[in-house]
Amino acid sequence: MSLRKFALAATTALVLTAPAAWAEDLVIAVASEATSMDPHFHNTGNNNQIMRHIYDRLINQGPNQELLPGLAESWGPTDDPNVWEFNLRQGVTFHDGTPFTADDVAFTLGRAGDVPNSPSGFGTYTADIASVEVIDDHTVRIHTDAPVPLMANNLSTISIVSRAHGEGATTEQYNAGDVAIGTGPYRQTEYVPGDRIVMEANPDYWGEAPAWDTVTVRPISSSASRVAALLAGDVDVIANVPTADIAQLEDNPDVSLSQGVSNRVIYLHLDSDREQTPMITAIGGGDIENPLLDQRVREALSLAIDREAIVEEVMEGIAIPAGQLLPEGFFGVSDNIDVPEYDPERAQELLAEAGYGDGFAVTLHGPNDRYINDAAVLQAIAQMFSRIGLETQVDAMPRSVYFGRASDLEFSVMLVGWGSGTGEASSPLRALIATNNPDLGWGASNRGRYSNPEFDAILTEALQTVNDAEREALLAQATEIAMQDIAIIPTHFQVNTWGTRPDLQYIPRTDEYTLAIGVVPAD
Amino acid sequence: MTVFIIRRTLQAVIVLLVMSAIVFLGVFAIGDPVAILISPDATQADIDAAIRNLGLDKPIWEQYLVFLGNALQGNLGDSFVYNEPAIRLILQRMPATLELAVVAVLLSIFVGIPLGMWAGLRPSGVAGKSIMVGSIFGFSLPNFWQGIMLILLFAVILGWLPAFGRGDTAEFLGIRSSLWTLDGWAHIILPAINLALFNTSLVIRLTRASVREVIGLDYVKFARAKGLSRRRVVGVHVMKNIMIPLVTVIGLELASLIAFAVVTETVFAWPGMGKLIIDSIFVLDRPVIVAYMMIIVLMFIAINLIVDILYSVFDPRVRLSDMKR
Amino acid sequence: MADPILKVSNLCTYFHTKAGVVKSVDDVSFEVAPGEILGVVGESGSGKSVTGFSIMGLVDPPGRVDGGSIVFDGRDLVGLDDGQMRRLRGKRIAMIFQDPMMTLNPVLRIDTQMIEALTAHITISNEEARQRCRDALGMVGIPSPDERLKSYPHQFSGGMRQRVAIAIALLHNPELIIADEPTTALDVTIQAQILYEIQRLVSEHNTAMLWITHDLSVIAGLAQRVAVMYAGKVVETGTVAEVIDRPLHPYTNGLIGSVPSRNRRGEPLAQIPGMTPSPLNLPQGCAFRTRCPKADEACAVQPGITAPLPNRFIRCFHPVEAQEVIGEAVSA
Repeated sequence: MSLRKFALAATTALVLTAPAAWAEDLVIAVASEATSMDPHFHNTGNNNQIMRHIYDRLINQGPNQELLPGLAESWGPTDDPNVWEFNLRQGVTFHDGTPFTADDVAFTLGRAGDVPNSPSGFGTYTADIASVEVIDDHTVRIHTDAPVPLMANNLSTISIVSRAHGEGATTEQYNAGDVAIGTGPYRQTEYVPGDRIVMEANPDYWGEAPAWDTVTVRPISSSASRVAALLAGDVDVIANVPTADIAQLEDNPDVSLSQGVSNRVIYLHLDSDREQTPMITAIGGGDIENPLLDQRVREALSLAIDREAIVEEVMEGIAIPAGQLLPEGFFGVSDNIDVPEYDPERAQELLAEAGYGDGFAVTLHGPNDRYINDAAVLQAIAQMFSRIGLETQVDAMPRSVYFGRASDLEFSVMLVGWGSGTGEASSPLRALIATNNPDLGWGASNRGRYSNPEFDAILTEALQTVNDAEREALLAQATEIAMQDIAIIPTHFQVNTWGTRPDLQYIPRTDEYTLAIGVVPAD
Repeated sequence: MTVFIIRRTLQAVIVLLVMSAIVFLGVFAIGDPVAILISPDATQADIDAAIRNLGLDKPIWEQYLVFLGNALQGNLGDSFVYNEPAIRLILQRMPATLELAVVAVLLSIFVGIPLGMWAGLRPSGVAGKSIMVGSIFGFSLPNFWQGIMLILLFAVILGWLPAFGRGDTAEFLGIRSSLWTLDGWAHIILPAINLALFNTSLVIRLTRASVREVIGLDYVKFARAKGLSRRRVVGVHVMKNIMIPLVTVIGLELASLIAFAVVTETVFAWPGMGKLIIDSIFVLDRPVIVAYMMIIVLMFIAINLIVDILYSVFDPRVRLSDMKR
Repeated sequence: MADPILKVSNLCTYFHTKAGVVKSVDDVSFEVAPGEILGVVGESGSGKSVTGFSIMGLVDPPGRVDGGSIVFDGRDLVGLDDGQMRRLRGKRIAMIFQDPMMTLNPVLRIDTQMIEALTAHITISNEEARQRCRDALGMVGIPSPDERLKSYPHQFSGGMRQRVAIAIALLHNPELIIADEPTTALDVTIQAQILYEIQRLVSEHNTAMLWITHDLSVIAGLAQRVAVMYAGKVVETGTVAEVIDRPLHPYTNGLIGSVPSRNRRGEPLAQIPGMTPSPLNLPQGCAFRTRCPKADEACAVQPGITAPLPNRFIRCFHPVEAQEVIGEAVSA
């Protein structure tokens, strides 16, 4: 019996080079605060990025969401594809000095998906676990009912807590700090809701020694104030620098900017299902058959979008044109797909071929407070559609209203974004393009109700393929099918900008998290 | 007096009840919190569980009754987002907002009234005219812009004051507040000025108008005819008569500062209730929104009661209780 | 007369408004002897109240004293600064206003308003001040003064309030009291009471008084001498008996004639034709020209002060003849 071991390429050597301990306090300003200090309560980026400091996971995610050893030194499926074995790191202690053992893993995996009243928890990542078997203090086996190729990715999101403190602990106790005991590089010292989270260095950390004495994370929701705080020197690092300020800040010697592509794609979801679609009519009124059912119409719309212009004009250069669901370098991305060229003439030809030479009237919908420059992007797209003969209207609204209505299928053309939490292609493919199947949880965000059996089949196979290389190929193939058929129209990938003191820089992360470990001296 | 208070208490209960219905129905009619909160990866089973969890599967009138029942026991529901009692969330952040509001009101009183009196007593002088023009800026310039400008000037360019946040707190007489520390004052001064600007302008203009009105009245002339010093004429005879409109405005001011310091709290990242409410609105955290509104209504009622009582203190012609006014 | 306590000479108080210069008081002169009551009679707008305020130094911008002198006990008040005037006000010269409802500050207690009048001028203990206030109230005929001291003005009737105002005026035993229509706003019976009180008090303390009114009948019963004002000028002065019996100026004649009691039953009421001219638009020369039955071209020039009879001063080229006097004399 051989275990497949996964060797670790030191592509992230930069992260691992340890700077000398700075004996300094770091202050980070983020746009939104965490909703709780309970690591399993709420699965959002705001919460997760804090938890990365206090807790470890079996498997960590590097800056490009690549999987790295965490509390597990090695892992892999056994000969039985329904059983995964994890070899745990030895000599690791929790913040209170007690040793970390496999029992803690078992406890954590039982608790993580089951926190009471969680608005959105980690259940999706633990749902596939049938049982956890403790072999010895440093070995754990996870049993599943069917092969789960994404086991490692799923486990890379779950913070490990100790049974001693975590048993019976409530979210409130985590907030109070009593039971906030992890194995991470920093320990929780202070949590003032709405104001700050203070963490101090854990000198006994098993990994790279924490570079900062204390790390304070403070929410400043107004982006102008956030930038001002950095300029005033009140904070050392800020996240989410607004695109409008970037040009000016680049010239400012008191600020250093770090940029990186994110795993978030912005795209148009099209109603590819209904005969009549609510937001499309003939020009001048009157019902028409849903033009989006025709692949040629969808392709025309994709070709009508000048992605370069959107990136340059609307996003001020801070974005990357997209032809598929994840940027280059991510797991499952296809090398055979190019970003569609802007070709309005061909678009009009396709419309004519499909019988819509006279165009049609369409209302585009999107949020105005969720993604970077979302309303502006929507308007730009609408204008581009006008140029190929469509009569367009735009309706951008707050996300609190938008997503509910979009999920109720009130719209025909929707601007949405998707960030892959697992850092690989199956996440968007399954959620956005797979046929909507509530019982399985597939196509949960497929608001266009696109359905392609060929695609579904390949995706299903991929998600049962444990071999990485094979799975990657299958995912790429599924992507190609979807993009060929214009299941959705990706427009661009967001690029995130962090600002720091001039003597520092931030190693950008595709998951958009802001972590103290990523703050390093400037070159 | 007791009759008066009892009657007002009854009125308060009715207002609270009506408000609770209006706010509850209003908030619950908009948007879909499940769509906002739940992870996009969730299965239908998860979504259904979440809906049940939040109590959103019941018809709205039933939800309201459940809410009322809990409210009578002092429980205004748990936040969808934080999973903590909404009241606790609000009360946690209330001291910060109260601090800010109190300092802002004090600023508007101690800056606004003297400036307004000066402008009222010497309306044609340069100082008097500048004060009035200044007050126009005070309530015309958008709050958000003023705030950012204050930060830019004092924190970024001059570096004299911190750019955001609340300072260190200390405990004194059983109250924990950032007003007891020097660091606290350094942090509170800019947001307090920002919050106070609009109201200071109002107070200046109101004081000036009242002074102009009162100064020409016979009893002021009579006071002068008695040979009283100017200080006494202005400080006692005039002041006491302008207190009624001032107290009204300042009382309402205080209430609205506490309730709606949202912009200032957002610009200065001040960890108060205002920030909580705006964030809750964005993510449709309904229990927090409703709880907040109820607390604010209660506060307005209380402040109005105090203002009415102060009327009778300042103007003996005003009688509370059942006597006709 | 013996040295007058107040001698006003050529007083000019003008209001410099945007619409023009309003000469409210234009070259007014009169005297008041110690202990004497001088009545100043005129209709609204004649400048009588402004005269009173000018003496007190309470004329507010845009008005100011532009000329003349006000000599009080040998000292010219015109040109004194506010501090010096304040020492006089309330102490040596006191004033009583017309509308008792508005004279007292509605939000302050009576004792506050009385005690402050005392402490503004002398150092005195609270207890003693209170005692003096009690006495003052008793003096003006207000019963249960202790209770009254603790009350507020709105708890008093009009007549009572005026008594309080009079008490305040008398607190420091001033040498001169300026009373600006103090009984105009009161009922006739109350008016009679107040008049009686004032007469008594004034003669007791030998206080000089300048009684400003539009009501001749009040003057008839109260004052020793009278000055009649029209459009900012004094048009006639003399003793009350003489002026009423034998008015010399046509305006005075018309004024006396207008009193209803002078007319016989059944006859139409006499009146002065026309209206008081607007102060911005006074006729050239004698301001009464336009309404005077005896006016001619000579009146286009401002008449100077003449004395057709001993101690009777008028501004008129055509004094009233004996037979032109309207109606019967009013008995003093």
